[in-house]
Amino acid sequence: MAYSFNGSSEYLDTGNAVLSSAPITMACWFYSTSNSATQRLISIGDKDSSNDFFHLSAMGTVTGDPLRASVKRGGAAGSATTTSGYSINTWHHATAVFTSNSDRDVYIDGGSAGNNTTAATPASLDTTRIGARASSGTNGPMAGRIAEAAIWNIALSTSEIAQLASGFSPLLVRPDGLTNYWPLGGIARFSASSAASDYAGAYPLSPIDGPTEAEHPRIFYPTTPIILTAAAGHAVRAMHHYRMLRCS
Amino acid sequence: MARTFPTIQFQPTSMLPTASNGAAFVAHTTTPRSALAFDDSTNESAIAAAILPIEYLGTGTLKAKLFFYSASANSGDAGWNVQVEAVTPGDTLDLEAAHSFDTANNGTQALSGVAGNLTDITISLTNKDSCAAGDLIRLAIQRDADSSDTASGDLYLTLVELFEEA
Repeated sequence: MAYSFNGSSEYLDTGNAVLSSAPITMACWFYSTSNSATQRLISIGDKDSSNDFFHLSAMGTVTGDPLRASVKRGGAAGSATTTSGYSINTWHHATAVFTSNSDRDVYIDGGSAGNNTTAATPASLDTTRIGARASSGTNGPMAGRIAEAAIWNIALSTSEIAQLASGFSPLLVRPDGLTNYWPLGGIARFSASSAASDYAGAYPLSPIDGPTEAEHPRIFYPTTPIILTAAAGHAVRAMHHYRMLRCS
Repeated sequence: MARTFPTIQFQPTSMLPTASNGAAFVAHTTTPRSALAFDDSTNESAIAAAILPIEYLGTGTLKAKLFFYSASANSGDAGWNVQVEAVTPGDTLDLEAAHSFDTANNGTQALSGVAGNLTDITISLTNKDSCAAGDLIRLAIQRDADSSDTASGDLYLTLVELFEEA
């Protein structure tokens, strides 16, 4: 189950900046129901202002409905924009790579990359949000679903981004740099206490105004090795083990 | 040849690509099937880990059987290296910072003749880091792209079996 947002007041908030400087990679799956609104997918910013942030957005207000990776520090701001856009009512994969304070890239479905090199170093970061900009007020609320949100403290490569966009779990792609992973359903059974848990770090998300559960995209999750006995009847053991894996 | 302990099967999603020169996960959406892709010009690797079953005797031959297929090549040899690391609880090894992989075990196998068709190779793990039942064992699986491998394009690894034969 993914989280579904109403496009006006619903989002998820950690109350902490999970990272505060580049390199940062943000990624998630999203399913937008609007191509006429700016929608913030993942954002790290200052909850008391709109002057400092890193975020990944779906730009329904821009011709072609591209994605953007944006940074801002006061009057200095820069955005990388994908060369193609999203379609409504369709699952897409979004990735923003903030390699440094003057180099950022954005991808949709693992490709259509855009780059920007404007220098900007966000400061005073104190919160992370899914489905809205991390700033004062509610800016850029998501209309639709978000799932498998993740943040790394490294700049993922294009090959690694392609693996995520093929449906592989963030747990399988550079887990050494994975700092936060919110499945928002999927391997996390959907409940008030578990669905917004952080499976890689220590920053669970708090639902604001009650986003609801919705269909999850198809994801390849890590599995454990399967053990087969060498004796007759090994298939029974294998099936038993498989069920154990599925139920655990 | 009888197998002396339960076979351990590693699916692609139970292995992890190395951070540097790691194999890449691929999904063939029409099948659907997942695999790990190994490049033809860089020695790429993935790691599989398990506990060596208590039934492991150590008197037979430890073997790894790799099931793979090619993305485009119809001919040539696939070259693979498999290294073994065995760690016994209490060993002096900082698992966070170091490894103790034994010398590589190698093998080559001619492709099946048709891209996409399943091929397998069994490699005897004679260099096995003195592994024993109950050890934490890891396999480092690497395509030997710069040496014995003569196939062009990616090779897709879809399953690895580990077993002992008496």
